[in-house]
Amino acid sequence: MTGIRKRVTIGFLSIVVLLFFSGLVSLFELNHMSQDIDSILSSNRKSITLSENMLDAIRANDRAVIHYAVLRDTTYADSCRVRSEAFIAKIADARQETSSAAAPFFDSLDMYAQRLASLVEELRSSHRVEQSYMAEEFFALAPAFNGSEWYNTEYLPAYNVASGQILQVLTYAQSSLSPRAERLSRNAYRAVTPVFISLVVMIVILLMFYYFIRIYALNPIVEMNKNLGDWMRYRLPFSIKAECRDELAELRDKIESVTTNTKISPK
Amino acid sequence: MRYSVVIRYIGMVLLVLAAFMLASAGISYLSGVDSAYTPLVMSSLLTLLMGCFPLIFVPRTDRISQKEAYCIVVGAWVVASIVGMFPYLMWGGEFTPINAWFESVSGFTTTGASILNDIEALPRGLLFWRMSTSWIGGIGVVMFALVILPSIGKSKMMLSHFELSSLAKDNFNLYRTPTVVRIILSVYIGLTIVSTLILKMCGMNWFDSLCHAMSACGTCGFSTKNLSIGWFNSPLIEMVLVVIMAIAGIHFGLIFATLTRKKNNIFRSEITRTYFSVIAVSSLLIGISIWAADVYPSLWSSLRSALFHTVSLITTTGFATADCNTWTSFAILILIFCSIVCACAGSTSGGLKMDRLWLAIKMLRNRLRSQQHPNAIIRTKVDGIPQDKEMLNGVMVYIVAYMLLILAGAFINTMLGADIMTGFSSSIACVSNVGPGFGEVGTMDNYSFMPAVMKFNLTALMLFGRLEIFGLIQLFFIRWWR
Repeated sequence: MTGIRKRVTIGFLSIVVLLFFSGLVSLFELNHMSQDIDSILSSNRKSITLSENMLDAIRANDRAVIHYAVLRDTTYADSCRVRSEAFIAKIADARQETSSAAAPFFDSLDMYAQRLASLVEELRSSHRVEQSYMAEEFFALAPAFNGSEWYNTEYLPAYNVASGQILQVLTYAQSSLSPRAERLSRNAYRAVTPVFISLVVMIVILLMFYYFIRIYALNPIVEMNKNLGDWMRYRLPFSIKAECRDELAELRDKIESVTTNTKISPK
Repeated sequence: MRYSVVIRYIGMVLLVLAAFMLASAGISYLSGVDSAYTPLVMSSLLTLLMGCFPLIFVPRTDRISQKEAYCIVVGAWVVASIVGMFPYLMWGGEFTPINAWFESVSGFTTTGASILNDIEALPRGLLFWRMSTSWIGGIGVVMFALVILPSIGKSKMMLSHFELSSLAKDNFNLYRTPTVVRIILSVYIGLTIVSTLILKMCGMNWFDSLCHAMSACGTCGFSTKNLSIGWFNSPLIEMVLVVIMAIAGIHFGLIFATLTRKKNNIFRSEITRTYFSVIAVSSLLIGISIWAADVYPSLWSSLRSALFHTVSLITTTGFATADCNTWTSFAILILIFCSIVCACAGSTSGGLKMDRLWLAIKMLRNRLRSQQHPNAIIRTKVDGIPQDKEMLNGVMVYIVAYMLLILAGAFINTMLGADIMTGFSSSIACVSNVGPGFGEVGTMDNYSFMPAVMKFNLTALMLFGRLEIFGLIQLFFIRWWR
C-alpha cells in the first residue's frame, strides 16, 4: 500500500494515460480512415485520368485517319502509324497502373486496338489513298478508292468498339471502388470502437477512483471530524475504523493517542 | 458487504486476462504481426489498467465473507466476459457488439457456440485469444487467479468453495484448499500439454494442435477450422480427441488420485463407471441406429462417428465431424439426453453432471424401497459413503431448476421466432454449455442468423448454466445486496 498522495497521483495519472491513449488511438484510427479515403479518391482520380488518356489517344488516331483516308492528306500517313502506336502504349500504361482483376478488360481493349492499327496499316501499305489522290489530281480521273466509305464501313465500327471498351474499363475501375467505399461507410463506427472502449474504461476507472477516494479518504476524515467534535463537546470515547495503512491511519492513531492521554477533567 | 474488496479480487482476475491477451498478441507477432496484433495489445493495456487500479487503492484482505466471495465469483465471470469482448470489437469483421459478447461468453463458459461464418478468416492472434477464453473458462476464471496470484492468501478457501461445483468437493476431502486448487491446475495444464504433443504427432501443425488441445481440455469445442474436426478428415485425430475429451470429463481429483496411485481412483468411482457406461451404450445405440438408416456406408464408420459425437456432446465439448441433423430421430434423442446429463462434477464440463443423475436414480430406487419397507432406514450411498440428506435435497432442487431453466430458455427462443427444435435444442446447448444443438443450430451450423435478443438470451443461459443457476440468480434479489 502507498500513501494517500501517491495513490491520488497514480489515480490521476491513470486517467491522464487513458485520455492520452484514447487521443492517440483516435488519431491513429482517423489517420487510418483518412488514408483509406485518400486511397479511394486517388484510385478514382487515377482511373479517370488513365481512361481520359486512352480516349485522347484514340481520338488523335481518329483525327489522323480522317485526314489521311477521308481528306486524302497523304502527309498524315506516318502520323496514323505513330498515333496508333501511341494509343497501344497508353493502353499498356493503363494496364500497368490498374489491378490484375481488370486484365480481361485490357486484353479485349488490346485486341480492338490491334484491329484498328492493322486496318490503318493495311490501308497505308496498299497505297490506295495515294493512288486515288494522284489519279484525281493529275489525271482528272474518278477516284478508284472512296475514303469516306472505307472510314464509315470499316474503320468507324472498329473505332466505336474500341472506345466503348475504354468506357467499360473506366466503368469497371469505378465499380471496383464502390464496395470499398461502401465498406468504409458501413464500418465507419469500427474506427471509433477502440476510442469508445477506452472512454468506457476511463469512465469505469473514474467511478472506481471516486468510490475509493470516498471510502478510503473522505469518509474517515468526515467520521474523524464528527467524532472529534463529539469528544471535545461531551468527552465521548470513539474509535475509527480504517483498513488502510496510510497518512489517515497515522492521523487516526495520533488522535486516538491524544484522546486517551488527555485526562478527562470534571466539568 | 465491502464492494471495494470485491472489486480488488475481480481486478486480480483481470490481470490474468491481460496476461493471456498479451500472450495472444505474442502469437500474433510471431505470425508476422497479423491484423489482431494492435487490438490485442490495446485490449491488454486497458485490461491491465483496470485490473491494477483497485490494487493500488484497496488494501489486501485475508478474510472475506461468504457473500463477498460469492459476488467475486459471479462478478469475475461477468466482467471477464465483458473484457473478453475488447479484442473482438477492436478487430471488427463479423464482430458486432452483440456478436462479440456472444463469442466472449461462449468462450468463457466453454459453451463453444459461435456466431462466426468464417472462422478461418480470423488472424492467428485472435484465434488464440478465442481459445484462451475457453481454456481459462474451462478451469474457472477465479480458480486461475487463485493459483497464479499468491496474494489471495486465506481467501482461497472461500473463493474456491464458490467456484467449484457443489459436488466436485467430494473427492478433495483429504486435501487443504491450496492443494486442491494446485491439483486441479496441474492436471489441467498437464493434460493440455500432453494433448498438444499427441495431436502434433497425429499430423496437426503446432498452432492447431495447441488450440485444439486447449479447446478439448476446456471442453469448449472452439476450432480453428470452419468444418471443425471434420476438416482434418483423420480417424486418428478423432480417436485421440475422443480420449482427451473423455478424460477432461472426469473429476480432476480422481485423475490426480489415479496418477499418484491413491485408493479413490477412477476405476473405483461409481460415477466414473456410470459415465463410461453411458458413453458406451449411447455410442452403440446411435451407431447401430444410423447404420441401419444407411446414413453411413459401414458399421465401423457409423460407430466411429457415433462415438465421437457422443463423447463430444456428453463432455459438453461440441466438436463435430458430421452434420448430426441428418441422423435418425432416435440418435438425436440420445444425443439430446447426453447434452443434458453431461460429464462428471469436478471436471471442466458443464451441464447437469453425471453425479446428480446417479444420485437421483439412487434416490428414486430408495424411495421405491422405502415404500416396500416403511420402517427400514435406507441411506443413499455413493462409493459406499452415505450422502448427506441436505445435499440430496439440493441435488433434486437443482435438477428441477435446471429443467425449468431449459424450458424457460426454449419458451423465449420460440417466442422470438425460432422453430421448436432450434429453440429447445439451443436452450439445452447453452444451459449445458455444449454449444451445438440441432435444427438450425446443428453441429455444422452456427448462431449468426439469430436476432440480437435471442443471442442475448442464450448468453444469459450460458452464464446461468456455468454458474450452476443459483450462482447468478441471487444477483437479481435486491434485498440480498443489503
